[in-house]
Amino acid sequence: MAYEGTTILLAEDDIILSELYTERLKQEGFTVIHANNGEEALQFVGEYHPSLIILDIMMPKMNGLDVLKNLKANSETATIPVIIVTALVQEIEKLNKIMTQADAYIVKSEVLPGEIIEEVKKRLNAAAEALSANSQTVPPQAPPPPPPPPTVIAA
Amino acid sequence: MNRRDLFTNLLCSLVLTVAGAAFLLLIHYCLAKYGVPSRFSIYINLLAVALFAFSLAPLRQKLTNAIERWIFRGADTDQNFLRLLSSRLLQSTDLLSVITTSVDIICQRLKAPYAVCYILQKDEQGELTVKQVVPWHHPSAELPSLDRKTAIIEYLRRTGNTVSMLKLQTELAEEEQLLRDNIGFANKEAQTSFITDHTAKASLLETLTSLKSDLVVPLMTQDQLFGLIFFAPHPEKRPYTAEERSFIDIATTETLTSIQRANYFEGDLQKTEFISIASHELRTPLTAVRGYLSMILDEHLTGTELDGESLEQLRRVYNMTRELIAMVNDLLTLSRLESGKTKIEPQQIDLIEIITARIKKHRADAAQRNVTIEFENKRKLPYAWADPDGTGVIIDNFLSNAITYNRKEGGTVSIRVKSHVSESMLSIEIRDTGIGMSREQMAHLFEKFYRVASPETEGISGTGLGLNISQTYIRNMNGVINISSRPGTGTIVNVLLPLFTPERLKEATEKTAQEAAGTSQEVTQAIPIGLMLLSAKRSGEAYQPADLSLLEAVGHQAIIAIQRAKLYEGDQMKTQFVSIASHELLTPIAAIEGYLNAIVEKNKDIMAPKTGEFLGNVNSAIHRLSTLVRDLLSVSRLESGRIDITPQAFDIGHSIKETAAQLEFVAKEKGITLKIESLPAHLPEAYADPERTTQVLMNLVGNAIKYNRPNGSVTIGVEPTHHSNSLKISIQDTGIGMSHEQMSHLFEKFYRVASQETVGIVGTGLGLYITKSIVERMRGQITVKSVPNKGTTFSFILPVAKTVTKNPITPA
Repeated sequence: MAYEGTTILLAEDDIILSELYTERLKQEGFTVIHANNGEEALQFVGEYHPSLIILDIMMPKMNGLDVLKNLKANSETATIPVIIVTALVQEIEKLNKIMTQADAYIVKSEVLPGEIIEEVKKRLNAAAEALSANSQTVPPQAPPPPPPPPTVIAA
Repeated sequence: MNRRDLFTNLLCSLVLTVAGAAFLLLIHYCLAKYGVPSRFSIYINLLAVALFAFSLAPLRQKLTNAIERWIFRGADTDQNFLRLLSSRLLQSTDLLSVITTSVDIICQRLKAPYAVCYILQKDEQGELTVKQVVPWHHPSAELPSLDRKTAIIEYLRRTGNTVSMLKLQTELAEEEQLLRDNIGFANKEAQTSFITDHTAKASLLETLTSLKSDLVVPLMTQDQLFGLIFFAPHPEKRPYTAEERSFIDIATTETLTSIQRANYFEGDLQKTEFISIASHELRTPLTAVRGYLSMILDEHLTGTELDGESLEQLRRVYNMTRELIAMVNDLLTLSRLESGKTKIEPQQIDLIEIITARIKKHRADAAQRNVTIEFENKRKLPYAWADPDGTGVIIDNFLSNAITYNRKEGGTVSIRVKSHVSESMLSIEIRDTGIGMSREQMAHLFEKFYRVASPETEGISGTGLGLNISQTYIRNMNGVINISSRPGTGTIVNVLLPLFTPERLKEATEKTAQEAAGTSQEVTQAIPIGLMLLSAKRSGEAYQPADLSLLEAVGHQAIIAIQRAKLYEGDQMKTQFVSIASHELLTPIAAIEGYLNAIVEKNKDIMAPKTGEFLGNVNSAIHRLSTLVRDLLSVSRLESGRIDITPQAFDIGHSIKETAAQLEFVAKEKGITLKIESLPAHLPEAYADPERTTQVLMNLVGNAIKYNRPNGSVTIGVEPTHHSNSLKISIQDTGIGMSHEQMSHLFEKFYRVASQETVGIVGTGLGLYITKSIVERMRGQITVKSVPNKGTTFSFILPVAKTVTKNPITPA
């Protein structure tokens, strides 16, 4: 399969949903690392260097919003695409300020596992293209272009 | 008569005497001047006195007012204090500011230099304890806590009277005499209660002394005691007068209404929060069920292998899950709308654009049902002034209703938008050729969860909340809705929304600017809630300033009372809402559970392993869902007092054995030993509801098994307490234990201990809250002790039969 060996970090504290998403991601050949809370999520990002992060907002110890802030503040992790999965539609305003072009926002109860996979693939492909474009033309110290508004699925 | 009245009367008499004499002299002077014979003077005198007497009442009134105004400057009459109190209470919505305001004004009136208020609350054991101490200029830096003085609180709760130092001293002296003589008691019981009261009074006297106070006033309604206010002695070192005491009575009555309003206000917020959390908790397992089913049915990822009938049943379960999600989402939308959490932000919107977009969304569905949607917009229409999201939801709802409730063989839905310039409104008309509704059905249309039931509507899914949501949106946008219908012919929905005008825009821009600048006074903005009309005074006199100020005070009190009543109603409605919602959810969940069991049972030999695994996951998610809904229902019943608790004498040992037998299998499966400590001989019978006691035991023992370690044990024990008037049941486990922090939240709604060890343990976070409420309702109490990594012991105490039967609990 095309995605064999691609590591995805899934930060979701709810056991039922994390099992569901892990199951579906494994079906596509992804390697899934599961974090139960925000602190663990940050720790695993450092250990496993995932290609993409699926991040729940409401989590114990450190919530998803703070994890996202931490990720974006660190230059090593700032470019990892993040798909935010949440039960709340209301947080969108706060998230918009931190999210970049590479990220997406999904409302759990309105999206099927298949649709999440589609979004994961889309984000991975975009990140890969950006990477190859960057390494060819743009010098590393160039400032990034201002981010256009991030995609919102079923908000 | 107080000194002020005496003074006023004297002054009045003096002025009137002088004025009367002058009037008489004037008359005589006039008579003399015009040469009227003096033999008539007696009649003239009589006439003058009569004339003067007639003018006395209005004159006197004017004089009294003038004296009040000029000499006392209207500053410290009781009425003025009361008016000040009610106008300031109107601004206070939380408990603390209500208390502070009230104590402040009473102390000003009494000229009391200091006071202290103890706010009371029922604790976990249902006993009144001090929640907060609010001092007012009190000289002592550290105020004694009343924690050990429960006898005082109980005494004041029972009598509800204001008690003064002097009265207490006199009473205690008399009682001591009585006790010494040891006479006058009808029986032992009367003597006991006399002594209890006597001890309480003595303790109260001691407390008054230690608080340097002279007077204690209980804040009390019906049988509920909210707090105690201790007032300093009068600066003139005299006891408070009867008038001052009566002022305190009136002022505290006013305060109580405000306290109740503050309490309901707090409760209202909590319940809205509860509905939000509940809806959120319901969505997670539903999302999982729908996810797994879509992987089996849409994506065919499992190599399904189910027989045709089962496949169809599974498809039905899938659809039901989608409906349940829609229902929960609707519930959340509605509760957020009703609580004002969803903001309505009217703006200039193009209705044609919104309607066209929504029609596009429903096109496929309409085509499938053979329904044609007609929508013509020839002329350019003015803009509407409405919330775009809200308008979208409204159009969506009515459009989808018009399509789904159309004739089976197909029909049309026509939409027209017109402007009603005269009313400065835009009208949206949605007309269908559907099944229509009877008068009876129309009457219930806007009720929550109401769904038109007829042969034609069979198989149509819906939550019964859509119309309610639409109506709430329309109302919040200052619109109007009208529905007319004829059975068999069709239904016409007419929605009027405000027209866009530059004034409305200007108003809104100003408001936003104010909000941004932080100068908006939305919280205190005055909204009239009613008018009080009074007829003219029977005497024909005009209303005096004093009357008007009284009226103002009455008006403030009326507002507070009306708000209290409204909050009370809202509170009841929300409790009912949770209960109805839970019932509505329970039916489809039970159906899904039934289908799933049948499918798995029938196909267990043929289905693909992955399908089996996924269906297993679906099953556990559904199980979690049904536990959650049942728990929610229990919570709402407990909170509204609709749970039956019928206490009776029963053998607790039997209940323990029964619980252990029921849970033995679960324990064994997890490798946990379930032990019952040898029961003491001659165990007294418990006095409680046996079924609820079993529920409590099942919950606690279930938890002890769930949060245990492999090869651990659970020990259930029971023993009489040292007073022998109650039984203590303990459930001890060798599990993961809890920290102090975790224990402090343990009995809160939706609280779940989150740690590495609890990952993967499924629970609703409501079990312990329910357990605690039930134990307390049976006049028991529950406690917990825990050591992290060692284990946890839950104990609960129930009353023993013989001591309680004299004083039976009234079932709620």
